Amino acid sequence: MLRLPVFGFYQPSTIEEATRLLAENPASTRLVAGGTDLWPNMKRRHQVAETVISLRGIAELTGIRETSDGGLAIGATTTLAAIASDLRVGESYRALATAVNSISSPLVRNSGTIGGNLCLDTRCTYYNQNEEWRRSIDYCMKEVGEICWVAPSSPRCWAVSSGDSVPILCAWGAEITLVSKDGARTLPLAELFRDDGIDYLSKRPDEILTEVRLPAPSGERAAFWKLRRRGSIDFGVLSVAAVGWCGGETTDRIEIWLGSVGSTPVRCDESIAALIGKPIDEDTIAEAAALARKGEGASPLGNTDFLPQWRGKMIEHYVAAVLREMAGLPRERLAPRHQR
Amino acid sequence: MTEEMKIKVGFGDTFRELTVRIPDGDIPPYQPGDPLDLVGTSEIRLDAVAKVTGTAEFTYDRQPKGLIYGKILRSPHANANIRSIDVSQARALEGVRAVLTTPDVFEDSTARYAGAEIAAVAADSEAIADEAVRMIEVDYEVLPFCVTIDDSMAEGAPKVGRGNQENVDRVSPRARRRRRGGEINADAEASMVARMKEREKTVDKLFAKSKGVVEGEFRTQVQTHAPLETHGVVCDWDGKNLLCYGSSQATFGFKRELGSSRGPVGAKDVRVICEYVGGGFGSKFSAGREGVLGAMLAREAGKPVRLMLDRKEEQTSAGNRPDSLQKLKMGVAADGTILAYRVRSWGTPGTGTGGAGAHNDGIYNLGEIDKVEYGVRTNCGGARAHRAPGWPQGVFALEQMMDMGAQSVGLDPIEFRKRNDDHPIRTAQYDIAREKIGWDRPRVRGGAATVCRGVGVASNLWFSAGGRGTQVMVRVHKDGQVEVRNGAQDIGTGTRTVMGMVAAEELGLPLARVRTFIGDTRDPQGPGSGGSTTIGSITPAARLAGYVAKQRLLEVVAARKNWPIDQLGLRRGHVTRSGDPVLSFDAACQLMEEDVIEVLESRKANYAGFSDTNAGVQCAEVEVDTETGEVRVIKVVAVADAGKLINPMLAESQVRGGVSQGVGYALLERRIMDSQEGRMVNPNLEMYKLLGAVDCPEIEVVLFDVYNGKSNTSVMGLGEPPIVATAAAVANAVSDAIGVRITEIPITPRKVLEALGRKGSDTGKKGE
Ligand SMILES: Cc1cc2nc3c(=O)[nH]c(=O)nc-3n(C[C@H](O)[C@H](O)[C@H](O)COP(=O)(O)OP(=O)(O)OC[C@H]3O[C@@H](n4cnc5c(N)ncnc54)[C@H](O)[C@@H]3O)c2cc1C
Ligand code: SF4
Repeated sequence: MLRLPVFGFYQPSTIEEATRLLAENPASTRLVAGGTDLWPNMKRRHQVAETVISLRGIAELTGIRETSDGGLAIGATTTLAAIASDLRVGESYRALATAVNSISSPLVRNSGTIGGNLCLDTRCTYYNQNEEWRRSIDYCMKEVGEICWVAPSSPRCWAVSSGDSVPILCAWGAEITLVSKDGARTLPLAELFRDDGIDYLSKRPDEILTEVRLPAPSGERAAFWKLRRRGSIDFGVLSVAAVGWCGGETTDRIEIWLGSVGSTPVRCDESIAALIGKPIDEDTIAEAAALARKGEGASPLGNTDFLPQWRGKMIEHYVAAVLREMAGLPRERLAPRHQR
Repeated sequence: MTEEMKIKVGFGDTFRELTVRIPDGDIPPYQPGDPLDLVGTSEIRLDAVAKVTGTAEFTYDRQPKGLIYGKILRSPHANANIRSIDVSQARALEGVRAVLTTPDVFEDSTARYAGAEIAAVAADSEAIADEAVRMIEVDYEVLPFCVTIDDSMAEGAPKVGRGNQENVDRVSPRARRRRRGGEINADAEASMVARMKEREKTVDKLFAKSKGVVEGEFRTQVQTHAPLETHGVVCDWDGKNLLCYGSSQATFGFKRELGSSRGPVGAKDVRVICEYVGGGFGSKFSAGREGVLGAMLAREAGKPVRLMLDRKEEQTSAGNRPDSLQKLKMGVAADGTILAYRVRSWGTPGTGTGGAGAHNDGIYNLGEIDKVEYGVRTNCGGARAHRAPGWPQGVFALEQMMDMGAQSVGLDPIEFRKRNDDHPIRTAQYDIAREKIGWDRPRVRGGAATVCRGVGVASNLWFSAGGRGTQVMVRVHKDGQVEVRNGAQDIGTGTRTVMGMVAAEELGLPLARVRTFIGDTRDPQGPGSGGSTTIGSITPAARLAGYVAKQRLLEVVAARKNWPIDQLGLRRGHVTRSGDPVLSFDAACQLMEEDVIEVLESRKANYAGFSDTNAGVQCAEVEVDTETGEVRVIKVVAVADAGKLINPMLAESQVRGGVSQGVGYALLERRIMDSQEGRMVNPNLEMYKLLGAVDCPEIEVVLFDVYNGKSNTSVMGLGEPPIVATAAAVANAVSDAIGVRITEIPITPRKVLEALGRKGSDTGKKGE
């Protein structure tokens, strides 16, 4: 393992100062929050920077507050541990706490932030190796190499979107704010992501993600499951989040999202369509689960742990499990360990 | 001269008398009912605080003044010959202090796996060393390669070895050769083959007579040691003498290796220091090429050098447990007696063929055995001894055969084992394991639901009473200070603590009152931590040294106070007279005329003892999702015997560690080789999956306290045995849960689903 290279380091105390510094040379500057993704990536030379700006000195970027409409606003540098232990999150957005708690280990959750999780670099078995290893295969497209080792005839990179808070926040219809020297813009979180392993965010390099907002609770039910080899540390090879709003007997609105199955979070459009206006029961769940793999972008390839075929099959089982949990049906499945 | 005496041996409430010959100068073993204050208590390990507060100095932490950094250039090719190496650019780089090449140092111009050492550099910083390594230009003759056992055994496979080295070699029964590595002696081989044929026939006849005949083919993976502290050294020369801080499990082994006049280093005097080591699991007996290069770089640079492997190097080049392919057949009589057993097995230890055997023919009485074993060369990093070398893989296969054998004659698996087992300790362990795991509790099993449960059993065996060649020094100072010294290392098993405990017991002192010194070859000779023999080798010498020091101190007291010596003893910090405390230990020391009583005692030979082997039985309970194929180990009951327990908590820790590693071996750990590039795909701890705390099952440890009587401390080592049975017990439990056998570890969801897919067509029962 190489050590960190030499770079300039700033720790501004206001958003304004940070955006100004960032605007100076966005292409060669990187932001760091908890650093649990950026520092290892810089050590392995996945990412290089002349300048690193830490967001940790900006007080207004951290903390959880209630919004005027009864929702919750989470500052970008709020740690994963703070979110998982927040009482309001625990009460009204429990599945978010479950998702956040499934990330790595307590140590990483103590320093890793929600902003960093949303902006997390995409991942791939051929990419998340040390520099010497990558050099000996002449790198790949995501870096300076020519081809994609996972799909050699493919013109694009398929590295995997792996932030575990992403699917559940998308399902909840969360919004984010991006701020640059020129002003702020608000967009649905789902629009932050692009289906490209290299250029995976629609955020401009001169923008800082400042906040993610959850809508006010309105009687919805939600659940989150994550599949991986071990019960901690490991990144997911599939995460499933569902949030459903049922006024009476039938489902008014439901969102089902998958993570870690492609370069972008995936909305299970057909499963959702199959459930709207129907009661959630054994039959409708089975039907919706069987349609989940059709979600556009759900294309497990051989670039994570486990065989892609198996991961593909698991989508149905895990979507069914999540919907069952949401509907309060018995589990009948070996649950992931973070579930407890 | 030896003294014959009667001792009590046994365990629980069953002891028998045994007449043994106690070697001259030794003291009799602990006896049931002996008044012991320390031995048998769960003292907190002496290095606990240092380790958790970070003050313990590991090799990585050593920073002699002027330290510079070593780095190794490794082959990117799986099989190559080195035509030439140009180090001129690297040498010219500012800050580079020394450059060495493998052909020069080891007279080896081959690179037979991706990761083989090619050259090494020492420089003022790690960054410069790294840059210099990249500047070395190597001209390789790149050859075709095999990185899996199947590729290597295939017809027309590329040759891994050089010269007359075949890819596959029969290692047992071994062919006689005219000289080492030379041609096979044809006559001897012909008669060997004839004998093997005979054996085959005998066993075939017994199979024909058997009521149940079962057959299976089993595979196990390559497991790396993955100690948290990687291999490496910090070397500092003083003229021709070498001071080597080494991450070691054999300080004296390192010393011999680096000091040998026939070796490339050939230091005049070597002092090895290893106060703390972050795990070895069998891979740190030798200083290895990294140690040799570290020492030579330091000599050439004229500065102390740190050469520690990084994680990738550790995973590819610092050893592993070989894989195995085992084809087994067992014949069972109607009453459950095993009549005959056949083994054909293959394993790859890397580019050689030795050391990849699987112990699949031990533990039970297996009747007539016909075993032939082969070593297979592959272009992969070499094996090193790994916690119970050969046993976990062999027992994984053997114990499944035991289950299949039981089934073939309609016996309960545990009953079947008992019927073929006469170990005096293990036979008492089965029922305990059975009860603690709830063997007979009703469960949804056999694949009858989405989530099923199952239980499995497996046994282990070990031979670790320790032996001679160790000395311990005890010093009692006039100011009351006590030192206990041995130069061997404590690889985490608690050697330092138990050594202190047995000596302190003799001196009647609390453990905190003695200072223990370990891991410095200036102190008396100690064993390498192998074969779980460390405790059995060191504690008898430590106890004897403590005893002799006590006698010497009491002689002083007797003389100065005019008390009859045979009335005196040491207990609870006091000299006792007829059992009553009469003088504090410190006051007694004050009576000494000399400054110090110094005693050096040797480990004496073993006596007959109760049992030459120690035993264990493990039961596992698992939960399996038959749709996703996921497996969870819920609980493991480990019944273990470590002879006389010096410190039950430390013993229990060994069992927990072994079981955890065994569960990881059963479900997770696996070296993955890329057959196109010939490299290891997962040389890091993110992709090489070790068992984590969350995945660790509940482990219930049941320890037997056995007065084994093989040495004066009666102890048997426990480092290795607990890992032997775990994977086998887990595999048997999975088979119980899903109703079909899993014949390959690690047990991944894919394998479970495939096995379920096979169900019905193959229940593992053939030839009945
Ligand atoms: C061993 C290990 C296991 C892990 N397992 C998981 C896992 O299971 N699931 C998972 O989701 N993650 C996992 N992670 C990744 C990571 O720890 C988390 O995603 C964490 O939330 C990242 O947050 P951070 O603040 O540390 O990010 P940083 O490393 O600080 O930043 C990550 C990226 O986001 C950018 N960034 C950070 N904050 C902002 C912002 N406010 N505006 C714009 N850009 C920003 C940075 O420039 C950088 O490119 C794991 C990491 C490790 C080391
Ligand atoms: S998906 Fe292809 S291009 Fe992208 S990181 Fe992996 S190997 Fe490289």
